[in-house]
Amino acid sequence: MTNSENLLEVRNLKKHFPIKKGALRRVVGHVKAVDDISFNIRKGETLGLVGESGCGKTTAGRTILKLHEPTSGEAIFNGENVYDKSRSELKSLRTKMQIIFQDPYSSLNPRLPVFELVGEALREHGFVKNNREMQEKVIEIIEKCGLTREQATRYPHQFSGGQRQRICIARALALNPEFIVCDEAVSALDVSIQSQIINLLKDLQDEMGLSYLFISHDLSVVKLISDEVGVMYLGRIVEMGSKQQIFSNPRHPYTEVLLAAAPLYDPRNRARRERKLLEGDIPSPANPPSGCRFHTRCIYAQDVCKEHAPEYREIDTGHFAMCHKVNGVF
Amino acid sequence: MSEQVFKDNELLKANKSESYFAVVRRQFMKNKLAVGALIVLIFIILLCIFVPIFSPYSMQIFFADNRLIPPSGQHWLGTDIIGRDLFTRLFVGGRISLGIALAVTAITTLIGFTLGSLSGFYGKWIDTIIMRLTEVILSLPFIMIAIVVVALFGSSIQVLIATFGALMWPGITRIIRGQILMLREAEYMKACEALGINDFSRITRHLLPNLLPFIIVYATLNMASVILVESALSFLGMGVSPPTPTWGNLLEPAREMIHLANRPWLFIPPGVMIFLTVMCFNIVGDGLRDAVDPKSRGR
Repeated sequence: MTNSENLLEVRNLKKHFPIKKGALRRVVGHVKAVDDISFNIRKGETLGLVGESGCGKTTAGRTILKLHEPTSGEAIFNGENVYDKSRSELKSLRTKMQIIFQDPYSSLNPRLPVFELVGEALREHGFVKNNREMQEKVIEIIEKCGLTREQATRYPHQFSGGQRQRICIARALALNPEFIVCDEAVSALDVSIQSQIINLLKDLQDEMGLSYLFISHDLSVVKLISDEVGVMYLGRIVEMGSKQQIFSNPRHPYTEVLLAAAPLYDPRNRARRERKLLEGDIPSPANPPSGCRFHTRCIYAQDVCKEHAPEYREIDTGHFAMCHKVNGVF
Repeated sequence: MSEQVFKDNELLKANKSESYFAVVRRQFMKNKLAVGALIVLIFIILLCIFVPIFSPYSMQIFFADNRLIPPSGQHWLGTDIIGRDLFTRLFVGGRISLGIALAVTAITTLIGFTLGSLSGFYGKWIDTIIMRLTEVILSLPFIMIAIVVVALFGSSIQVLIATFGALMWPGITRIIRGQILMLREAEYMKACEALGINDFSRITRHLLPNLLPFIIVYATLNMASVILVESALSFLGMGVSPPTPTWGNLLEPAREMIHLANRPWLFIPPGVMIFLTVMCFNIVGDGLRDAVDPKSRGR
C-alpha cells in the first residue's frame, strides 16, 4: 500500500473522547469521534471528506495535525509519523501542514492587524529577519490571496466574511506548507463567495503544488475541488473512491442517500429523481449500533448487518466500501 | 499592480485602520451618559488630589470656638462637632476612600487573575479546588467577618484593605476563569497551535489582550462596591477610625438624631460624594462593558 507519491498516509486513526461524570469525574464511556480510519493523500491532490454533522470529519482533520492527541493510529507525512515527533520536530513540521477553519470570524484574533495575523508565524519560525522583511512577505502573500497591500494594516472586524477567509488562507500559506486541512473552509460563506474561495484554493494548488484534505458537508463543493472522495459515517469511512466513482457509481447505501439528498439546481430534473431520504438522526457515537453502524437507518439492512460489522473492502480499483450488500454477503 | 517604492513603515503611517482599543474608545465616546459620568469622576478625583493641598485648613486642626458652623464663605461646607473644616475633610476622606477602593481592586484583580487563569488553563483538580474555595468565600457573611477582623486587629486602613482583598476576589476569579475557558477554545487559539506559535506569545499576544477589557470592566465596577462596603463599615464605626476621615465615617453624625434633624451640612456632602462616585463608576463600567462586548457592536 505504501506509495512514494503519497504525501500523507493515515493508518487506523482513532480518536476517542472520554465522557466523565459525577463529582469524581470518572470515565463512564467514550465518544468514538474517529474510529479506525485510513486513507492516503497524493501530492498535489485533494481528498474530499464528506458526512453529516457529528460524523467526525472535523475531529479527523484536527487529529491528523495533532491538534487533538490521537487515541491510536498513525499519520505518516512525507514518510514520517507525525505522532512520533518531539515537540521541536513537531514545531518545524507545523510549517508543512496547515489548517483553514470553518468560521472566519472566530479564527482570527480581533486584536491583531493582518500584518501580525499573517506574519506572526513567519517570525516565530525565523522565516524573516526583521519587521520590514515580514511586511514585504505578508504583502506578497495577501496579494496572492486577492487582498490589497492597503488592507494589511486593518483589523479583522474591518473585513467581510469572504475577505476574512482570504486572510485565513494567507495565514496558512505564509509558511509555505505542502498540505492544508480545509475544515469546512467555505461553509460559512454565501454561495457566490464560496466559488471565489474554491477557485482561489484551486489556483493556489496548481501554483504551489498543495495537497488538501477538504472537509465539507456540501457535496457540490466537494465535487468541484476533490480528486478523491471519502464518505464518513459515525467515525468511520464507509466508502472511498475517485470523484467519478463516488458521484457516478455510489455503492454504499449511505452514499446513495447522501447524493440523493443533495439539492438539484435544475428544477426539471427534480421530478425524475428517486426520493431516497434518510430517516432518523445519526446515532450517538458514544454508543454506536452493533454490527454495521449504518444498519439502523439503512433501507437494505438484513439480520447479518445487526450482528457483524462489514469489512472495508476494495470493490473496484481504488474504490473501497464497507457494506455487506456491496461485499456480496446477501 | 502596486509598483510604488516600499518605504519602511509607510503603510503603518498612512493607514485608515483602527486598533481594537481605538474601536472601544470610539464606541465608548458614543455613550454620552458614560462620558459624562467619566468626566464627573475625573473631576472628583482631581478635587480629592488638589483640595487638601491648597486648602488653608488642615483636616486635623480644630478650633473649639468654630464648632458646628454652617456653610459660609470661610468654611464652604461648614465645620464639624470639634470645629474642623468639612470641605477639607471631605476631600481628604475622598482620598482615603478612593485609595482603599483602588488598593482592594488591585489586590482582588491580582488574586482573581492568578487563580482564575490557573483554574481556567489547567482545569482538573486545580480547577475543582479553586472553585470550591470561591464558593466557600462567597457563602461567608461578608460584613460580619469584616467586623470580627476589625475587632481583633484594630481598624487601620491596612487591616481594612487586607480584609476586603481577602474576601472580595471570588467574583473576578470566576469571571476570568470563564473567559479563559471560552477563549481557550476559540479557533484562533487552535490556529496558533497549528502555526506552532510558542506558549508565551499565545498567552501574552492572544489571550491577555482579549481578557484585558473584561478585567478593566470588572475592576471599574469593583471600585464602586468597595467604596460602598467601606462606607457602610466606617459609618457603623467599624471601618477606618477617626480622626482619619473617609466618606463613610464623615457620615457618622447622621447616626445622631440631633444632627440629622438640624445640621444637614454634616452628612449630606459625604453622602452625595458616595452616591455620585458609586453611580459614576457603575455607569462608566456599564459603558465600558457595552464598548468592549463585540456582540453589542455588530460586525
